[in-house]
Amino acid sequence: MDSLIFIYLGIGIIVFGAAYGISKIGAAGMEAMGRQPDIADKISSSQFVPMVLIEGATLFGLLVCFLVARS
Amino acid sequence: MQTIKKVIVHIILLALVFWWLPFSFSHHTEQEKSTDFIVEHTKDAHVAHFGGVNLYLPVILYQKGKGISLFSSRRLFNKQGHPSMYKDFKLENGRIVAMSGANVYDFSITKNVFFMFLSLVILLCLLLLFAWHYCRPTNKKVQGAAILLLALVKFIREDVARKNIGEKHYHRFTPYLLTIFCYILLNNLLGLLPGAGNVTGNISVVFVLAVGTFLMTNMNGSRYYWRHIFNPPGVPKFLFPILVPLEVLGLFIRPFTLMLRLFVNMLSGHLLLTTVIGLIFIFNNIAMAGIAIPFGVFILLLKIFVSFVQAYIFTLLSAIAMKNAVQQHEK
Repeated sequence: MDSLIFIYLGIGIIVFGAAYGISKIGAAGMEAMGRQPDIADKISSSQFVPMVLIEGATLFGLLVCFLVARS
Repeated sequence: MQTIKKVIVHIILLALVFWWLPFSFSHHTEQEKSTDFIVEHTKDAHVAHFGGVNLYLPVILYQKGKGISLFSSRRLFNKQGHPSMYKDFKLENGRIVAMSGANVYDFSITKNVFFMFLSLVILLCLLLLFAWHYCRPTNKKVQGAAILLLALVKFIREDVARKNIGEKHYHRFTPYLLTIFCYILLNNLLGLLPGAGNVTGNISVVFVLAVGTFLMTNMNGSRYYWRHIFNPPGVPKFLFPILVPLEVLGLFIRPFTLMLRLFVNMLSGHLLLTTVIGLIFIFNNIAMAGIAIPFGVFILLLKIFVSFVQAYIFTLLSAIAMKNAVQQHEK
């Protein structure tokens, strides 16, 4: 039961990190779009790639948590 | 009149959405442990449940020395719907095992395989009809539902393939990109139906998709691409023992993350949905439904969005990998 607490803590930290990273991208993208409305299309589509990379790292972490929790 | 019609259609759609979440759980009996079905819903199975109707799928088994045995999965259950023995075989944790302990190779048409076939039939019908409709010389403009398909096809061709891969090479990769996009999108959306197989939430299916991207990327790799891996330009010689293995490892990590992303996204969505609905059964209280069902509907709508985004992301990252493979060194 004790180890489960650490797993929950780990999940929280992972999600916190991912949310922080994606929020940074979102904020920067919004600002860029506000400054340059002409290329808003380009900016919003290029935001996807870093978001997805962050998500990938997050999922790795979460997967490890789930695997440890099940063992 | 038009507005009234629209309102009625919307109310019916909304009622369908609300009704169908509990509907997909209606086959569970009371004796079951309440948390079991949360995981069970995301797994592959030999029986497909559509509300009260059970669709028993064929079981195909191969045993060394005994050959192939073929029977309906109805025989693995008794009258009460509990797992029972048939011939030598028994269902254990959703997997068929032989009582004698011998190895059994399972080639059954399971729920996932059934839904894969279904999605292939739907895709073929839709896309061939669309192509026929589009290529007719008498047809001046595209009408009706074909507009949706046209938008999707054009979006992948222009915004994903041409923009990322480049004018020179994108013709080669567009068919592959369109194939994986349509397949993933349709299977993501089909997986949201009650009782449907969770095809893209199954790691073997997604693994094959990622292998497809891996092969497409590396078989089309240019000389520059391979030199960049085995003989990186502008790097001191003593760094090669570190850098070259890393680059080779990177070849495999990219499709691996591609696989993991789609798989975990679809699986976690299903788990979240079933957990929220499962709260009703865990608390054993009808009042929970007032909170769980609206929240479940919200997650369902979110998952429709996620289905589109994940199909797009998979295609986009495949296109970027292909761009890296075919690009020439600019001096």
